[in-house]
Amino acid sequence: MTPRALAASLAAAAAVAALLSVGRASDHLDGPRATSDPQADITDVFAFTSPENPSHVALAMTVVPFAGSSTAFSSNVDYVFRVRRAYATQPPAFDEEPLDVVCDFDGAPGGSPTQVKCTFPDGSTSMAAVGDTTGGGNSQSRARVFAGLRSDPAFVDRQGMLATVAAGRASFTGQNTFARANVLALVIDVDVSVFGPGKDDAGRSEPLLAVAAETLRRKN
Amino acid sequence: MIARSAVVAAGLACAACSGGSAHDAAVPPPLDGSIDSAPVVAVGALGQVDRAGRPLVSLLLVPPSLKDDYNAQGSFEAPLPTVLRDALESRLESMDTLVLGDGGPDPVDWPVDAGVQPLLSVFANDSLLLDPSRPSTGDAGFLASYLDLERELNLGGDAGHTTCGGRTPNDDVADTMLTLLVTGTRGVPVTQGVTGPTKPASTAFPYLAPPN
Repeated sequence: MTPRALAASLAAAAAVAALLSVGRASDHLDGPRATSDPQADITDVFAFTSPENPSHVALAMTVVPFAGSSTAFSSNVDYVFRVRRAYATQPPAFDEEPLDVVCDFDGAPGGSPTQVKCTFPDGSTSMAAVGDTTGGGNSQSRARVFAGLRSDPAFVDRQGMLATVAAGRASFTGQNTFARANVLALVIDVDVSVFGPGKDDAGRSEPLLAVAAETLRRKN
Repeated sequence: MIARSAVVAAGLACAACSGGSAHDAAVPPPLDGSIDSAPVVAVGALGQVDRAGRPLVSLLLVPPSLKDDYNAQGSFEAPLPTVLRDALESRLESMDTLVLGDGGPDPVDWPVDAGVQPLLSVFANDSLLLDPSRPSTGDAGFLASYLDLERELNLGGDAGHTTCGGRTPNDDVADTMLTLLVTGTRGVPVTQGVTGPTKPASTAFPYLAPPN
């Protein structure tokens, strides 16, 4: 870790300690560990059929609550979409075979990452410059990847939710906790075939997909 | 209750998020809530930091003392450890009888059946269930698709899913969640009173709106 990065980490630790001790009040962060590591703090996950290409799926995760204009992804964190085939039984059944998409960022010491690379379960990869809204291709490309700052898509009265859970009574304020906030977004638009030609018990192709997101810190 | 001092702390908390420069949080987060009374861990501890699937699961259904344990669990690890399973079930039961308005507790919509809260079959696996063969958009843009498949496959809904399920941007997932948890399928909507994001997503890549 560079002296500059070490100083930044110490500042973050001190700030988190202050946040947790002053009045013992929380913001929108999810547990102490994620609070202490905002670059790995997942705020939302999306999964939907691509509006631009019906044979593609779009997967997105957002991280870093209340990100600023110079906030960057970490080159020491794996940003992972955990994907499994699922079958339309009651309840749905999940295949055990991992079909994960792992995204990483290049790292220059003391600098912000400039490129993202995502590796798909079939071993293929897709790369793009951070902030490139074309995702390194077009709607007919096998895969596109976007990584960069976006408006926070969440609209939640988080303080009202917390008060509601604590009181057992609806206590909403109607205020969007994330109004005008930004986050870092990682968006993938990829041909669904990278997840393989699975079949359900009835022999139907195109099984369902189950999608979650995880962040894993590899090193400091 | 805290105000400005904690806002400053929150901004500083992301000093490590840029290439060494100070974090310039665009909007200070409101910090009027109560905090999890858990110890601070080392910044950058190795291993799995966070996980997420369905929105608001951690916020509504996981007690503060278990959030780190929950986040360290693999998304598809099964079965869920007993302590997490019991906690989820307890929160599901509490949300089912939430007090709405000036009335008493809302009636039980999800009675425990054979020792299991019915919604546990949905939320014990925290992932978005997606049917790639169905659309995410209609004439007016993104469709509301959240829990479309779960209603059919987990909760025995009569109607088959018509959307891709999963989660589309712009979908009011908070109200969908609250309504399912509190009033079930009675057709009584529960709302938090927030109707949309700061900037709606578009149906063109990269979908999520430019920063503010």
